[in-house]
Amino acid sequence: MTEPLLSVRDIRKQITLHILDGKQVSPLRGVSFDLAPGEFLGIVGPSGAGKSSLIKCLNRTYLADDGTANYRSASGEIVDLLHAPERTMIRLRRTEIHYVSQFLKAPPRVPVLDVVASVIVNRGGDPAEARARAAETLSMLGIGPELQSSYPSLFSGGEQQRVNVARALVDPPRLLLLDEPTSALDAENRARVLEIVRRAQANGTAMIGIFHDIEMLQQLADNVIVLEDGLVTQHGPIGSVQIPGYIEAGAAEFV
Amino acid sequence: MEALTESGIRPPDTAAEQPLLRVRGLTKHYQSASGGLIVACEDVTFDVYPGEVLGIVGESGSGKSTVLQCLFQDVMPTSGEAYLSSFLGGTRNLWEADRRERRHLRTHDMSMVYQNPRQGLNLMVTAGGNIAERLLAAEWREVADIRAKASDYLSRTEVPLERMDDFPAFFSGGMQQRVQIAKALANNPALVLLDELTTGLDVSVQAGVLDLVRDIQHRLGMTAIVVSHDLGVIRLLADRTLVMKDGHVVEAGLTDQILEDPQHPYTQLLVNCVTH
Amino acid sequence: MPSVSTLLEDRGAAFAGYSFAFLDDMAKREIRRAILKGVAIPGHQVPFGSREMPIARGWGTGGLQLTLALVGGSDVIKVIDQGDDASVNAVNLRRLIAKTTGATETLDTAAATLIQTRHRIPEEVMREGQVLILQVPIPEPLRLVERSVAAARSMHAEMDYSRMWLALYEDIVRRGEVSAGAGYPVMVNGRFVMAPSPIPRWDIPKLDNARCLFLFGAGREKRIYVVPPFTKVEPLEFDDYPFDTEHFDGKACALSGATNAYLVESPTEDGGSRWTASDTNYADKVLAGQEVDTKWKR
Repeated sequence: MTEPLLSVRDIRKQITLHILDGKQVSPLRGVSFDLAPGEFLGIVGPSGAGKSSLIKCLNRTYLADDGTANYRSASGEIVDLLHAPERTMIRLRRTEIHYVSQFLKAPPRVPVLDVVASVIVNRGGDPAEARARAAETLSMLGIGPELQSSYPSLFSGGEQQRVNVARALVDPPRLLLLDEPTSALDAENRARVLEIVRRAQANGTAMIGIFHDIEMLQQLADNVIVLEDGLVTQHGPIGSVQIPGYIEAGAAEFV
Repeated sequence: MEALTESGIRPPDTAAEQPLLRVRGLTKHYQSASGGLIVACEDVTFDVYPGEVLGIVGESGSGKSTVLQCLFQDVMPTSGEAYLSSFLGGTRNLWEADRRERRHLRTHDMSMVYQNPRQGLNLMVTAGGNIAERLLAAEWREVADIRAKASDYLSRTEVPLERMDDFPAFFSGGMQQRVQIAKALANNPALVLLDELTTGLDVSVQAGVLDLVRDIQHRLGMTAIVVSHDLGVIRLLADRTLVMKDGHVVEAGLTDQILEDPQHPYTQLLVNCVTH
Repeated sequence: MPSVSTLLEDRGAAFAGYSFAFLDDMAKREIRRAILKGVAIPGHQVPFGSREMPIARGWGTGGLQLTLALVGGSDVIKVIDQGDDASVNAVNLRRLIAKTTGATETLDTAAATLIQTRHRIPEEVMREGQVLILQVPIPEPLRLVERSVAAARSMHAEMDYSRMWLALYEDIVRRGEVSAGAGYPVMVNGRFVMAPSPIPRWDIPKLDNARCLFLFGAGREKRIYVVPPFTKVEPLEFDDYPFDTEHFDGKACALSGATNAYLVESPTEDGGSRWTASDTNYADKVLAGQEVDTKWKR
């Protein structure tokens, strides 16, 4: 039995909305799971179940109130992603943990090619080689050379999502956190994403992904967590978990 | 075997990373006209690491500019300590340095880009001369070398070289800001302080100046503190951010965390004002 | 009119009620102390309580006070006004000094023990024991780049001369050279930037490592400063824009034929002009066929 890449224990997250007279919401009420190296863990659940909150807590975009998320880094150190120094998180984000949100957050007025290449450059890669790999990855995702010199802010939602995926996979990280990366894609482009994600899987990238699309999930996930009201209600191999009906219904909205 | 922390976790290797700047308990009080005490900033503590951009956000009067002014020795604090690793081996509190050391600090170790270019530039000295001033302070004594270096900085900041021997007094606000940034880069200071650098500029010009700073930061790995009331500027430039209100740091964290999961009521208000 | 020598014989009567050398003893003592401090800190401006003199401020009161504080009855004094011993101002200053002290007057640079001068250093090399007292209108070399006296003083204290260098840089950018003609700024003993008084560039190299003592007095500005013998004095210069003196393109003095001298142009009756040596004593010596040592730099 290999040691887990990530061991999550009892993550709790409470949000106090001071501008709404201190109203409190609790998106995570004690979530635990292990992620093996190279594993793809799918997360499903109804809206508001805490899926995005979980991913954001692991990326430290959200501050968890309690729990641990011990991550074994490439250098063998164990880092609690919920409590590690900010500088450690910045380093891990640059080198081995990548978070893909539903929406592209790229700096303005930078050509798509450079947006994607910068991931490799920031890891110390050669700029020319980075651009070559960025061009290749974007092309695989259906964003051809004619678009690569444009600014992503001019792109459609679907194109922006593919740029986002390209950033994540131009140099596959050790841990990839995916928050509905295909929500705005049509079937053809979902297939392209599927293909490139599989390559990363084959490369050993472990992933935690939120998908509304049951097909994507069935083709990619090793295991699935069902999250409901901030708690894990099911956790097991993709075939053994009862996928609630709302997943497919949700996917239908986007197809 | 490495020591374990209380939670039994081995400290991450980043713990070995040494901050470039350590600020501890920075406090600045003023006497008001009526004799009362005005707190400009109180017990401000933070670190800045090599190659990172630290953002300080807050409304006017929050004390964020006072922090920069104290660091750049424009204003002396009431109390506090600050150590810059490039300055006398990081052993001397910046606010206990003598005048000569402080001048060295301002011409070699740090630079400041002020909101108002009049503060950072001598408008009746040529654009090249403004950059030359820092080089001359570093004992450059060859006009050709000085001009080559000044041209280099000006072209990096996209100031047309034919303007090098003109007075910045006759430049546009955006161009003045570019000259100020070029001057700030001269002598490769360890730390660059940027105070509301886009506030006085037209929106279209702001974008160009921000792109420039981001680009320079990427290419040169510049370490900087960016002070702004504008969360957009902070989002674009800063890795980590401090939120200041009424002279106090009310929140500190990764910039995306500050923006997406603000903890303090004031930060929540600030973030919501921007996004809605 | 009584002659100078009659007056000197008659000194006791003519100057009854005046101190020896006009100044009172306390003033002389203060000035000598300032000189000693100046010798100890070459190029540093030492403040002193400048006294009212029987000539107007701006006419050499600083130089005159230095002279009067140092002169003794056995001194041989010479006064130069822009190279000329015979100008009204030079003659009157020389007479005043001689009359109130009994010192001997001379026009001969080599014979003088004390020389007071306005805006020139003699062409003839001065030797050990001789003193050259220069009249200074503006003692602060940083005046043009820093208006605040207090700020200029702290710049000296911190040896912060980047603004001065910047002014030179700007000059080169605008004019292709450092335009300062008279009073080119110099660095003394590697420490203080000093205003050499408005001497021409021609005279600047003479300040370096000289055998004589240079005293600078600014009466209106109340400052004394000193370049002691054998002190390093370097003009501020960029490596690629070296300091240079005036050139006279092979011209010679129209009166004496002297070539190795600072020449000045004056109009002639026929509407043209002629060039003559500004140092009249030097011209006289050349005319008389005397050997004159002008090699200040050894």
